[in-house]
Amino acid sequence: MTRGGARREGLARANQRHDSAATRAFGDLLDGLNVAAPPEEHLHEFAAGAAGVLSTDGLAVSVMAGTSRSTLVASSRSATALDEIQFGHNEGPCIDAFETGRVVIAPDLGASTRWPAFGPAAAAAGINAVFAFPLRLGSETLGAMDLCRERAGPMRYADRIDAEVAAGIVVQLMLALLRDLRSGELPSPVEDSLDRQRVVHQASGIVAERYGISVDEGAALLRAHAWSEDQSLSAVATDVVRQRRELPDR
Amino acid sequence: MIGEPTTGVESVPTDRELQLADVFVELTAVLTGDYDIHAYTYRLSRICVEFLRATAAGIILQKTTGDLQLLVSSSDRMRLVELTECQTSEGPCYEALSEDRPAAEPELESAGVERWPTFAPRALEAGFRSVYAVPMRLREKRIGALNLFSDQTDALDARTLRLAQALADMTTIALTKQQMIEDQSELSRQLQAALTSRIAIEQAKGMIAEDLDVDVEEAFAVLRRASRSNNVRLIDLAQAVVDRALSPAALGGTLHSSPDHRS
Repeated sequence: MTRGGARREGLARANQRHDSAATRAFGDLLDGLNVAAPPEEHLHEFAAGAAGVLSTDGLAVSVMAGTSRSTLVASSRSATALDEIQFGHNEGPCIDAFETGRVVIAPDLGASTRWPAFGPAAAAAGINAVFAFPLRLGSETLGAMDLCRERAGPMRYADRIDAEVAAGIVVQLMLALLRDLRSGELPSPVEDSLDRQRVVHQASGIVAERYGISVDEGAALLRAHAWSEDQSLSAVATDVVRQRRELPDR
Repeated sequence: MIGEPTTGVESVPTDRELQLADVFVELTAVLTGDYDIHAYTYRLSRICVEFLRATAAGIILQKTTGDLQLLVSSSDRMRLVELTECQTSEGPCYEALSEDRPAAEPELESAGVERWPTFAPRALEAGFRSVYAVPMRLREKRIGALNLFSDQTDALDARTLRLAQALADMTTIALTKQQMIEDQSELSRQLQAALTSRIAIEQAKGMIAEDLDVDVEEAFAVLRRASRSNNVRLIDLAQAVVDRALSPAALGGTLHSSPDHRS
């Protein structure tokens, strides 16, 4: 048996502990993966398929550490937007799921005040329900898996169990992607995601040095400024880096 | 027959059976919570001495390279003999491992010397008269062996070796679980390092740019030059700047006078 085949069989066995139409569909998704394809593609195929199986409009997988967040895969435009909004405001269900190691259910973002910046921005982008699952490996949390829906509404308990099975499979597929970590290499989607955020981190450094605050405080200052000016974080950051723009509220 | 116990008096456990149950409960309880693998394996070696009545017990592991490595010994006297075993690849542990079944030499002084010409004299010199080993394996993977040495000839019978095998299997589970936990935290640590180092470098670029009044590309060049000329990793330098252990202005000159830069 090929290594890929053995891995898929192992994952399918894990599924059988909780037998449902959805987990059988996950097994079919895994069986349908092209063994010769790179692991990036496996995770993408599974994410796209699982989003449909779980009756959602998108699935995003992110890896996180400290204040560093990046998207590993997003199955749809709304899933991409979901991560971007969360990372931009540095708040949201997936960050909470990562930080607490618990499932976070947000069935109606328009009506919730839990995330004052993220909630309205997500609703404005047409995302009204988000369900976030920590990606756990033993006692470690590596990131989160987000599911999003355009329409508001709760998640049934059985669907939540199915989603937790999907999160377990995502962790296994992620491990294959993180194979070059030993030499410090990150998968290319993570590098791309970090690349897009470079300007924000540079601007945080500039602001931190200018005002004698920490880089985390610098980042918070940029966010507050973007929020009050109703501009995107990256637009404010780009201005700071290119033109050394002053932030008037300091 | 209703109400009559069919096994009669045999159903009452003996003291030794109860002791055995206690031993297994002790060894499993340690798996459910945090445990120290070294304390665990030392406790196991003591159990082999107290309960299986060996004079000394120890565990030798086989590394992925095939080399043998001593993990634990219940006594220093045994440790020296086991180290010989690791170096010469000869003796009961090596045999149990390579043949994947228990190895027993009840008469070390006679048959043992012919069987293991290097190992046996060393073991005899240390005062042992019989030696035994049971393999430790997880599915097809051989991970090591549990050694039991005694000061008397023909000290352990086949039934005792079966108990030893059960204890060895318990230890295999503990060692495997420990390895899994270590692998997972190592992966998580590497992921964290890779993710946070990328952003620390960008943050440091911003701080240097602001302090030296240059653009971020030039700031990166300053950082790279300082890294090369001082032979300090870029990420360590960047982190020192972010943590304010190193001022951007100091990057242009020599770093050795700065309060804290990590190498």
